[in-house]
Amino acid sequence: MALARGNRRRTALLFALPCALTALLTSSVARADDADELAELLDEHVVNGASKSDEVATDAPGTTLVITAEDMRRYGIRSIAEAIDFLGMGLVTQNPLHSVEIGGRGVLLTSDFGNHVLLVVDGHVLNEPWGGTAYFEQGAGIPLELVDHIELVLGPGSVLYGGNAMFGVVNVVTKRAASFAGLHLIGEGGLSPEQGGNGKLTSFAPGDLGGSYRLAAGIGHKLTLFGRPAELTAQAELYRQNGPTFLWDRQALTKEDGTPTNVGARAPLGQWGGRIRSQYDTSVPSVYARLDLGSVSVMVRAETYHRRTPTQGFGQLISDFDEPRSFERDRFVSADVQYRTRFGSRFTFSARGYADAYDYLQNGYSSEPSSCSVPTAGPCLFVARGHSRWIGSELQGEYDWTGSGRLTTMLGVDGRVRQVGGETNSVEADTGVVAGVDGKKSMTELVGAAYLQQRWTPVPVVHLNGGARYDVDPRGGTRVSPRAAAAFDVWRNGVLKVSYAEAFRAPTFYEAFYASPDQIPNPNIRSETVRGLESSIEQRLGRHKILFGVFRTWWSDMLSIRPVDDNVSQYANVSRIDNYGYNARTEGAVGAFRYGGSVTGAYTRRGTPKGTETLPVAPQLFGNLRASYTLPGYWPTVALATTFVGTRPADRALDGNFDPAPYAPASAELRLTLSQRVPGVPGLSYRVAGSFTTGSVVPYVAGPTQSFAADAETRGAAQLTQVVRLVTFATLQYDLPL
Amino acid sequence: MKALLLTIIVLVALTIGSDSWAETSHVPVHLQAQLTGRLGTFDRNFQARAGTVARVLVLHKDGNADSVSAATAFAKALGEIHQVGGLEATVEEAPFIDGAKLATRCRAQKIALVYFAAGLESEMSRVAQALVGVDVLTIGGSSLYAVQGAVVAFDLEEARPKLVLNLRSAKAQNVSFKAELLKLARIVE
Repeated sequence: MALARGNRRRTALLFALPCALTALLTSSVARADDADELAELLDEHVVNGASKSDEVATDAPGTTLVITAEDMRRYGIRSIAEAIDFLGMGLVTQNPLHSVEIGGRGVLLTSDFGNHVLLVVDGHVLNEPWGGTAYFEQGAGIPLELVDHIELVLGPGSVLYGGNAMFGVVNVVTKRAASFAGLHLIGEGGLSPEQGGNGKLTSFAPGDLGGSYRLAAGIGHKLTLFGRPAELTAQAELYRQNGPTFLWDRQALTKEDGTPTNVGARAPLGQWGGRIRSQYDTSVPSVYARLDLGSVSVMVRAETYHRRTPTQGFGQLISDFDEPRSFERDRFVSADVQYRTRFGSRFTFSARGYADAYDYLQNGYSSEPSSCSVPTAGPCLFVARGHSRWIGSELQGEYDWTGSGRLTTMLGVDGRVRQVGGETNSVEADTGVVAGVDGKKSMTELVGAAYLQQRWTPVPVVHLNGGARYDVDPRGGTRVSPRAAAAFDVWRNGVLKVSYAEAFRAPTFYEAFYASPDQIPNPNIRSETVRGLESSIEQRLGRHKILFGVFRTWWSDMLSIRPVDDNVSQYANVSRIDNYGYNARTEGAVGAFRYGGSVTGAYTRRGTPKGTETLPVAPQLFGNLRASYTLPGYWPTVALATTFVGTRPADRALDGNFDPAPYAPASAELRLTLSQRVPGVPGLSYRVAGSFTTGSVVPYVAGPTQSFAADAETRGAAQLTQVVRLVTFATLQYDLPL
Repeated sequence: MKALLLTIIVLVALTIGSDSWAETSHVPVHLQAQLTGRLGTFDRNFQARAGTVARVLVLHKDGNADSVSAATAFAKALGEIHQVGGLEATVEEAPFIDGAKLATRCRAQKIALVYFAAGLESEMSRVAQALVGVDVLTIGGSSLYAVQGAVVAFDLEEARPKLVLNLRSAKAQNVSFKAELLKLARIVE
């Protein structure tokens, strides 16, 4: 009887909820007047990333969402990765205390150095061709004050951009001089307490705190050059972080002959672990500048990203414990010149020339001579180097058949020459003498592509977009990446979208060509590919928006390293991934109150020759929630944001023989930010924030057990990498008119 | 790198006498048309100025392909909306000649609204002087127009369209905006 009453209540609730929502919708629509309609139009996002043409986001192919500079300021965002996690949808990052890893919609491919997401800044692709590397934390070297907005173009996106756009495209657009006018001086500092084992906060004493700071100077100025109006926007900054310190549980470490491994002076013989004090820091000096003059836009960018990682894994597999001589360093230099003009009233032509240089250096210092691939006499320094330089040009023409933008054809060609290479050296650490060189190779490659895009709006409520890109890449072969998309204005302020798209990633230099005593090259491996089908519906109600979408993706020819025999491994196309799920997002404002949130859920399985399995590290549930209120006068804007991820298996959960299999539990990061102008000091503003993470670990096995062979004997529980749980920071910005 | 340097030199040379990247508005033309269609309702004097039909004049710079293209697309988009400020609208496209002739035409033909397509920014301050005392709403396709004297202009800020208002020009041209609009716009004068 009680059960029946419960069912009736649930049934009543099921009916009541839609009725209440309908009533709410109806009353909202009825209240809409001229001001509301105008506000709705002014709240439309104009995007460029999905089709390389300025268009309203709701007309764009696929799902494109915008993260604005104002929201980044308001919610205390300090990197692109944080913007994605706290304000985005569909994409997610994980921080293994190294560069962050990025994935999306239930798929994350660990150790990919961001090479499954295309990072574009003002039309310039930042992923370099040696490893496809792109960074999304401070290592991206993109000053956030200079960013106008970030477009997240979700789903396969090779149709206009070529390789790497498998999860999607992160399109960063920098500010025009008008919205960055003047001279801007920025100082930022942050503190984090010392952490014990499992992420416990153990000391707030000043001497035990970890810290970071950022110093920046930017300029935005309109001027006249050669009699033409011009704009200059630029910012140079230095970001540094050191700590906090972590305590790691001891892990016994022995060599093949059973004798204890020497892990350096900061840990007992044969025992990795203890407190890390000297191996968690970052330094990123960077500069980004853009000059618009007449029909030409010139961009230059340079950065160095130097970092030490406090746990073994990624680039730190060969290192003593807490060893400051072990580090990684990336350097980027980029230049981009864009020109556009119009022939007649219907044909637009643009040309872009670009040139980039990148190099990577990894030093791993080990007291154990056998750690290097060529054993040394004394302590060994394992040095890995990689480099890429590329120069190219993209020509693009667009014809507007009707003169009203309703039927346009875009045709583009992109050609580049790139030089990539790398090597690993075994060096006598005490003398600097090179004991051996592995995998030294340098090669020049020609890469070309042509793409075609047709946009058609046959009636004002239907927007069609179709196209394909043909890529010729000596690594991975040729590839056609099509896309077909449609957006329908199904009712007032309601948009239904359907799209199908493909993307690929060519093998990296390391995957295809690196040779060492334990790895043989495989130049015949194919590109990874993904096909994606998705649909979404978006409804606007005044200043409130809600979006719900579903997706299905098929990933093929996924690359992994596999053993060829007992001593040698090789990269090969070994797996596929099937995945489906949903994503939803809402945002809106009522007066000075703003809110937003998103959630993504997915079901993902990887198929290998051994069978079907879950995908390590990849969150199957993640999202964010946020709210802010702008208080009157000089009271601050109060903003609370949270980002959350569900339980996910650790990187070695499936093949590490740990008992139990390691999983990182669900976790949320909460961030409270206060921001406002400083009373009485024109141009001076502040931002103060505190961030706390409920979970203590991320899904990455820490320490030497991370790299143990899959067939090693069953071990006990794994130690997972800690997160930096508590961070407080403050930013001061001084804007001076010029 | 030599090739890049050469490319830069060639492209800088191409900037002389060509259209400006810096002045370009990225607000899609059909969105500008939709905004224009609603703006009239926020001008207290619009209906009195227009009468029963809102006459809209879209001006472009002769010989400037960007300008002609933007004007044509805007005129088509506005024509499809049919209404401006709640009134039936007629849209006419023409090349810009000078401010004095525009003032005369506005008075003679009872033009309610003039839209300036890209390429006429440098003319705008003289146009604004010529239109002092003329009862007309002027709208420019990029924010520079409002700075130079158009009553309203469109800009793009953080991927959203923004209205830019020049209240001195509004007063000089008998345009009286309602408070709701002022709250949604950026004021330059």
